[in-house]
Amino acid sequence: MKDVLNPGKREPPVKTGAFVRIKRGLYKGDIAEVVGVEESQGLAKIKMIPRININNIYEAESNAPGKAHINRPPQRFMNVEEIKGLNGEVSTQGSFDVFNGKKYRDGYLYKSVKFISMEIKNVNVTLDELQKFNAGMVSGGDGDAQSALTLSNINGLKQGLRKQAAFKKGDLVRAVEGDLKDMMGIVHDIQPDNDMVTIIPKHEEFSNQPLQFLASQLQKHFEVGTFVKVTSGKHEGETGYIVRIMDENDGTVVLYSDVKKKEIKPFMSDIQETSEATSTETTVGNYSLHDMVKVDAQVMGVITKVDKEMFHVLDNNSTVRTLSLQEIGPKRNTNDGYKIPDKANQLVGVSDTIRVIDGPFKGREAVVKQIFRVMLFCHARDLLENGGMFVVRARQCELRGVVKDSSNGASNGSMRPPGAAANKNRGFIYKKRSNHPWLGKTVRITKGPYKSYLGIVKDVVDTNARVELHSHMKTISVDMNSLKEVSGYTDNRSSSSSQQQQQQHRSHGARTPMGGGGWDHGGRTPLRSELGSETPLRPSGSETPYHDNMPRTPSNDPWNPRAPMTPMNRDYDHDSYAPSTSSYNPVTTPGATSYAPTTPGVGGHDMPVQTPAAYTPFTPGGAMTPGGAMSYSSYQTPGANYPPETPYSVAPSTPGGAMTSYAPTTPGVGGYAPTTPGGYIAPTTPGASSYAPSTPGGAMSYAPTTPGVSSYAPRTPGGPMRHGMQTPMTGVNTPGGDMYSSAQTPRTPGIGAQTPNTPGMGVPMTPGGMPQYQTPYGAAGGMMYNMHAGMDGAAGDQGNWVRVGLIVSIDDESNSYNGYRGQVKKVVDNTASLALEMGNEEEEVVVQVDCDCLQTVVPEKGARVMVVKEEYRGNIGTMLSVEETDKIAVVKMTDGQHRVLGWDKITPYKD
Amino acid sequence: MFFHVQLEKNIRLHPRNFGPQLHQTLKQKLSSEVEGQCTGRYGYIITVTSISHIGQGKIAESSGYATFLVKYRAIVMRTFKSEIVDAVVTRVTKIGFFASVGPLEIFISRHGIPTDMTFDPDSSPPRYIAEDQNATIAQDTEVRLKIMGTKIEANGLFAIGTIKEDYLGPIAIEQL
Repeated sequence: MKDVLNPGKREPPVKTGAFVRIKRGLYKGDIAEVVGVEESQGLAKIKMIPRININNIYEAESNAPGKAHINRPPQRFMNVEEIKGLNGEVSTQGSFDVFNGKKYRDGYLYKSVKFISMEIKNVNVTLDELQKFNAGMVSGGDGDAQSALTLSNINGLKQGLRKQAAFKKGDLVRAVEGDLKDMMGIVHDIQPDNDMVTIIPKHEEFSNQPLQFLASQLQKHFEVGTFVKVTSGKHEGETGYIVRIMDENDGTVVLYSDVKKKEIKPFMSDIQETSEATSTETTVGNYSLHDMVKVDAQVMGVITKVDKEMFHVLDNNSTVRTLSLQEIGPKRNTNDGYKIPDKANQLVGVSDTIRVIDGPFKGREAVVKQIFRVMLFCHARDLLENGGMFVVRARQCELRGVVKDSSNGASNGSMRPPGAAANKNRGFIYKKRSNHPWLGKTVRITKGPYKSYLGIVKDVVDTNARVELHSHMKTISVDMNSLKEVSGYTDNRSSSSSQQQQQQHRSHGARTPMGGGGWDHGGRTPLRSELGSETPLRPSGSETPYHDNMPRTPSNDPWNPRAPMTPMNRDYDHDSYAPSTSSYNPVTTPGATSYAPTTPGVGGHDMPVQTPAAYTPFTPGGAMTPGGAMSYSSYQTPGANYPPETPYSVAPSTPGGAMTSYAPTTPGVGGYAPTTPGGYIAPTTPGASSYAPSTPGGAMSYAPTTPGVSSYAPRTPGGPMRHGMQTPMTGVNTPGGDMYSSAQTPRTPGIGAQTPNTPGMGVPMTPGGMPQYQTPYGAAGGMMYNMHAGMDGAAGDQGNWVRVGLIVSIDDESNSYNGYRGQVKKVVDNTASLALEMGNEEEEVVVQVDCDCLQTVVPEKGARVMVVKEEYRGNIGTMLSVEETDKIAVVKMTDGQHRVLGWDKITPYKD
Repeated sequence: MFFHVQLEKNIRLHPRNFGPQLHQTLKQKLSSEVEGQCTGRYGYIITVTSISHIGQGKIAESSGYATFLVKYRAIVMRTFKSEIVDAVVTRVTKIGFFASVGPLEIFISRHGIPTDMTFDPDSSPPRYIAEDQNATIAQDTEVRLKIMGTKIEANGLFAIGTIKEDYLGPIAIEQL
């Protein structure tokens, strides 16, 4: 039957010793301890920490009820002496000090408050508040009062704590009150109605007798070493090991949080034993701990700590950022199977254990959580910073132990073919696509709407291939069955001039080493020759090959010789070609026109292009993009890995070799430098009607041998220009420009080959290194010529390639016969006697010239030539054809073989 | 501490291993799969000592893999609460130090270190040093400690220890 009248439940009176929270007024939110209850009047006597305004001690809270809480004085224990010192009037009433109409004792304020203006339930006193509250005990009072206070405080504390203590079945508890104090037991049953808890005592004599306790008489019990989870309070959700249980009466424990690597101090009532491995508070929104997120285009970060709505992100530059949920970038977790090689070229993937063997984290062992490019985000348990996360280069690590996965793979035979396993040792493997034979191939589509289209296979998924069309800017998915590989197809994307170039190459039946810059690099790598034809190169070189792995600006690619040379890429078919392929791109760029191979006759057309400005597009910017630099730096291997395997004597001019000769630490940089024949260009001034300047270095004389030459002032065929352009790669910012200008413009005296080498030039070449290459390093100073044949490591005989009978030119600005050509009559020490060809004049002029100031001369077709440098040095042959663009010549040797040699390697020879 | 126990494990074998070397392969595979593993019940499996029985292989219908039940004996390391172990300190931090007993890592909080030992972050390597200067704990120090609790984690066991009891602490190494 429904009650007619339902009197509201009366506010339950608070117990003495309990903590309450003031609801309003000056003390709003403060905790107070109940010291007495007058139920009939609805009042409780409480004590709390007063808030006395020191500046205006008589200001009472009642005076400004509205604003009181806006600018209220801080909680501060009342000190009678202090108040008196401020001219406050303090009287004594019983055991209380009375000041301004209020009662104080031991610094606490005592007052009567109505129940309704106090929060009685769910006070949730925090540890800080309690400690602050208890601090008053120290401040004074007589012994009795203090002990009383202590007691009451402990009481209050217990009550405050026990209030939220929610027991669960199975909890280990201990009785803290009553006859059975210190009895331990396991919670068996809970009756929430009357706050009774039934426990099974952990005691031999009572083990079968469930006992009933008031919830308030029990306390959770923990032991050191237990792994617990905080279920409420400030540290809610965190987990940790109990490392210390504070004083029984304190009710707190010290946890060592394995996630945060620090200590936390929760209340015992807030914790619960758990087996959960990690704290639940590792996920906010879509993000969780150790997720990788994008910070900006070049920066990725891994979440190291999740606070409420805030993430601590460690990025790949080892800086820590704090980002809100709104600020944080998209999640980019490492793809499955993404692995990168460690120092020993073992592939490291996510969740592998590594040991850091170099750098600031040297010696640490950690588990890889994420990988971004070459950086590993690792988690080490014993690292306190950033929740144990740190960033390290893969190359500074080694894989630890036997990874379960790989051992399984080897023995139980994953379905991977054996060959694939061997192929594994490559960089940047993305398992799914790394091994498919069609990848990178040029194919023709034989069915469907795209029938007859040509494209490059970019990816293969099941039976479908992703084909990037040549003619359309798109990539389509095509069934593998409707694809036909186009063999021998070459991609004629390059400009017509380069096509011409290619054709010329083919007519030689070989890619000549001195060929166009782009070709050379590809062509000279061993890989290239293994493949035997250019075809793989082209198709694989999609237009944007790099973007798969390393974002970089296209303009960068053409000039970057590094990629193809690195072993990593070498194995990595299509991508490895990418750089070399894309090096053709420049041909299509405006600046590229400068490449147009120019025959002397076309010199005029060359000229404009050679202006430094033409090269600006290639200026260092590209090469220096951080992305590029970064991705390569770790792959750099000494050029030594690339022995000159190409059949040509110029083999040493493979970029690889060149690398070592120059700055070994930045192979890419040096890569081209050595091949820069820019310096070779016998810079004959247009005005200097005297032609045939021979440079002492004997390198190559580009100087035309015909009298008409002088009109070609810009006798810098495409080659030199190219090299000049490459110089930006070397890190010298504008040498290209300088080089050109000086190459084209008459040289001023003093620039000549005799100018002392700048230090940069002097870098000795390795045996693999080329013949005398001028490094453009000195270009900044206007002297880019370093004609020293002495740099020819192979020759080893310094400038003494000069021998009797050779026809050479003088390359010495300080010599009045600079540019003249002549036959070597005698060589004494390092000085050659040269019989100069003086044109019409009858007389024969013989001059003594330093061998270092001599240069080879470009032989005419049909001339007898001698190879003066490198492998075939000393051999004599007949000039069959001259390739202007690439500065190479086909020579029929006396033994009947045809060799393709660089101009600078040969010079006419007369007995 | 160490136990010699009888264990068993199902080993899956790829068909290409079916042949005269089958048992050899099984043994290898067992060792590689099992050694170094950690289970909550037995702790770390240190090494397989012998294989007592290899069951008949059952070939799975779809994959062709065969499953063999291998019974073997192995030495395992399992630590228990209150066990006293000797460990080597691996890292010292201000909140305590880490020590390892073989594969097991143990954390000793500063609360588990006697109060007369204080953290000395300025020395290299950082260490805990006793007031009377006659005991230090730095990296590679050997300590005798008591395990207070262990927990199984994803990749092994983790334990909390203490040296705050009699006869625990750094073990003096005789000066040679």
